[in-house]
Amino acid sequence: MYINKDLEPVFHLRDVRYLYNGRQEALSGIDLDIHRGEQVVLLGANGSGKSTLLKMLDGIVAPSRGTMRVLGQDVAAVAAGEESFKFHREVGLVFQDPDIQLFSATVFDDVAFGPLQLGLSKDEVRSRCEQAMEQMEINHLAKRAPFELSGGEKKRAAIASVLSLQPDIILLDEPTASLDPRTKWVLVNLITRLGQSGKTIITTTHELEIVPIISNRVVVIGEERRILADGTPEQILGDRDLLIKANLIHPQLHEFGAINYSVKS
Amino acid sequence: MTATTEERSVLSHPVVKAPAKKEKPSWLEKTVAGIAESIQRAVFTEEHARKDGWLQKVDPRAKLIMFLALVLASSITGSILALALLYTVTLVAARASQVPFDFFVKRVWVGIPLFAGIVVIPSLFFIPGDRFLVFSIPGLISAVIFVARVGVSVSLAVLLVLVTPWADVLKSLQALKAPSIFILLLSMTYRYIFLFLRSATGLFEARKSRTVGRTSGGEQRGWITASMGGLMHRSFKMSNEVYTAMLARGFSGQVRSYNSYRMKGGDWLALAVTVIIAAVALTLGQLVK
Repeated sequence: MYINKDLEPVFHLRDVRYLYNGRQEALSGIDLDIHRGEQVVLLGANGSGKSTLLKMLDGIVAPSRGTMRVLGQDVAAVAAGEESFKFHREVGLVFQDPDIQLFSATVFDDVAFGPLQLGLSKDEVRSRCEQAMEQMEINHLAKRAPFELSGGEKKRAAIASVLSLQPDIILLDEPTASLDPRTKWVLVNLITRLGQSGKTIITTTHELEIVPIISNRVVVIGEERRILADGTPEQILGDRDLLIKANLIHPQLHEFGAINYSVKS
Repeated sequence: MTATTEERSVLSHPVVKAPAKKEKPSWLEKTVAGIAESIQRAVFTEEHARKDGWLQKVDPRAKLIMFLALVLASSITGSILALALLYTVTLVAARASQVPFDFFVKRVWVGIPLFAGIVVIPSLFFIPGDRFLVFSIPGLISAVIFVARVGVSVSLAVLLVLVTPWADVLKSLQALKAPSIFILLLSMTYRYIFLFLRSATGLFEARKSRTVGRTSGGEQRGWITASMGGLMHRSFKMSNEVYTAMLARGFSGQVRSYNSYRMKGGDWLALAVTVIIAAVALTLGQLVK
């Protein structure tokens, strides 16, 4: 898909910092522009601030310092709830822990929660839910309670609960963490398909093998909680020193040169 | 292979003697396990809600109104005969809904004589009137009516929950105009109590797996206090995150929910018959004391 970088970026961050409890630095001086239609992976080790950055992009956390505009408006207004409703029609976030996202009595109710908040008609809500559950292959789980589901099923239900909002921009926090290979592959395929359909997809992960499949741009966040590199998957995954510096591979654990990544053409 | 200095140090460390007797689980462990088991059992009972019985086919809103009408009748009537009629109707409905008879009866009557009985003990002695041994006869009658009334009401509540999935109970409350925020809170409490119990059980298991030998009462109390603090902190953190997840999907303070119920002829008929039974029980209560 052609990405027009002359247009205003959907996310524009300059020298963005975030402090937990006003003391502990979670993000330090982030400069980032993301344009509509990009499939970006935020790559970083545990504790590098990826999830915090994703919550900021979703307008639910405001930066402690710096300038940040989301969809052309100040993120502080979205985080304060003023523009939240309008914003979340366009941007959907899938949390890392599906238990946080699945709070209703049944899977169907959870998938319907977002569309209902948009004030859509009953028929439209049902149609969107069925479509989202179909995409995630969880139609048979519609009437089940979330606590009855396996980890993989919960993850699929959590993603369906965001897909039913039909957002143009989808943020995924470690979508493939702790999943078995089959479920992981279903999600990788889904993310790829969503990207091909023109949606803007931003995914956090530290799983290198899925990076070239789901992204056309990779932003590496280092352990200093600032951006270390920004480039194509080929550039980033080919830079062994960078990956070691960002604690994404370890010389004694990875024979990185020997791994044949199926880089997207 | 030779051992390193650290390994030697560990190997030479005196072996902790195993306790002579197996340590009994603490009261808190037992309480948490008991609560978890009860809730699991409550969930397990959705097995009956999925059966192909009579009440399972009735619209949940109709079921809720039927239940309210019968509970109201059993609360108002002062007649043993009327209560017997209502209980018989409950048993027949349970049978028609494929709820195992002994499971249903035991579930209700094991606890009720104990809890309701304690409440009525004073009336057995202090209500004035004729006496049978040391008991007052009017006191005995009122005690029997009270226990029967509680038994019928609890049987109805248990039957409703057994034959209706929890999600449908909540939605029918909403259809009957119960405040949405109350229903959302109830639904979320039910959902997250599992996660909370899982966390608590995890803490106990993690401690148990690292406990060698006996721990003193003081140590146990200290650990329990620290765990309660830890659990509270986790709960606050989770509640914030859940609220954030709701905001992320457009929640703006107003709760909206989806229900697709449609009352059919059979539902209206069941509702009408139940209301008539409740009215008969009330009339019977007035005529035969």
